[in-house]
This record gives sequence, C-alpha cells and structure tokens, in this order.
Amino acid sequence: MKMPSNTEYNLLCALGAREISGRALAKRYEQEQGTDISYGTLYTAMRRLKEGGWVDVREADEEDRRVRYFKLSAAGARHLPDLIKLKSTFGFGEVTA
Amino acid sequence: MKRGSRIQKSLFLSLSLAIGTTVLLLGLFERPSSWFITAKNAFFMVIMFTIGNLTMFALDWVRWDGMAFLKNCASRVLKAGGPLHLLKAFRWFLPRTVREDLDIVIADLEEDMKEMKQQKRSRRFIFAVLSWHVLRTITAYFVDGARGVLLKLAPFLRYFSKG
Repeated sequence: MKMPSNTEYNLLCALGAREISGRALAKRYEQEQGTDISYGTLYTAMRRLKEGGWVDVREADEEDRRVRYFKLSAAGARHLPDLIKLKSTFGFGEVTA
Repeated sequence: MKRGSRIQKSLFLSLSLAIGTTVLLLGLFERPSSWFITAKNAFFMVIMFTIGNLTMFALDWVRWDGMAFLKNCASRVLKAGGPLHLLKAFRWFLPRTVREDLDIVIADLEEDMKEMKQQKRSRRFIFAVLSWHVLRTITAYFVDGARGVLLKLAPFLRYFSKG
C-alpha cells in the first residue's frame, strides 16, 4: 500500500468506521481540520485512496441525484493504525501490505 | 457626493447663469465702471465655477447612472447557479471516469446551493461561494491530470537522465 499524502491522510482520519457520503465527509473534514476542502480535491484524493486500496466506494441514487459513499476498506482499517504510528514518527514511508 | 445634492447643484447652476447673464447684459448696455470691472471678474469666476460644476454633474451622472446600469447588467448576468454551468461545460473536456466524478461534484454543489437558499443567503453570496468551489475543483482536476502525466513520463525521464 502506498503512503498517502497529507490531505489523503487527513481524509482517512476523518473517514471513521462508518460509511459516509462525499458531502458529509467534506463537512466532517472542515470540522476536524478547521479548513474547508473543495469537492474536486476530495474526490480526486478519494479516487487515489481507492486505487491504493485504502477505501471502498459505493454509489447510490438518492432523490434524483447520485451520491458516492466511502468506507475504510478491511485492508485500510488494518493498516491505518500503522500509518498513524508511522506518520507521527517519521511523516513519510511505505506501509507494507 | 450624495445623489440628493443634485437639486442643490441645479439650483446653484441656474442662479450662477442668471447672475452671469445679468452682468453680461449690463456690460453691453452700460458704460464700463469700476463696479462693472469687479462684476466682470466675478462673472468669469462664476463661469469657471459653472464649468467645474457641470463637470462634477457629468461625473456624478456617470457614477450613479453608470453604476445603476452596471448593477442592472450584473443582476441579469449573475445567476446563483451560474458557476455550475461552467463546471458542466468543463466536464466535456475530461475523460469519462472524471466526468462521473464531476457529476457527483455538481450534484453536491447543487445541494449546497439549495441549503444556502434555505438560509436566505443573497444571490451574490451564493454566486461567490459556488465560483470559489468551482475554481478550486477545476484546479484540483488540472493538478491531478498534470500529476498523472508526470507520473507516466517519470520512467522515460529517468531513462534519459541516466543515458
């Protein structure tokens, strides 16, 4: 698994254990980090995280609009504590799968 | 200068012109005397003052009526959801996978717009917020695209730098 960037790491921390929509995640990120995130940055970062195997993505139709839900994947949940430890110690590195 | 001072200005303008015309007529039909020379100088001062006043009047018109015109145009152009149209246009320049992303971004922004309308935010405020988000979203996709290109070029660059 590739080491996520700072934004991706913050998004992973904001994600939590439950499934959450992109819009709700943006709001939670804003609350936790104190800075807002554009939807463009959020969705591109989440796409990279999905490609890296950190998150699972589900799309659903709700009231005439599509919503994308994100959830920490099993591998992601397993490696997130290692990532947090690694990040607090070095701030960079490679997480072994 | 306030708009209400227009009446004062036009009154002053009429008064200056009346005094000026009287002095000029007196000069034409009466013999010049010391009081007349003083009056003539005063008349020229009034003329200069009038020109200045007229200029101010014109500038004032440009300022107020021009601004009103611009505001009128802006209110016609400024649609709260205008920036979303820009994003909808921008999505056609992107690959299909990213287009799907942008559809979701647009849906989220529309939801934000609805929320702001419920909060009774002004049209300009909504326009500004959406523009800011749209600008940042477009920048994010540009940066993401550039990053992808650089990552694809990296092996070639490494190969050529070694050679």
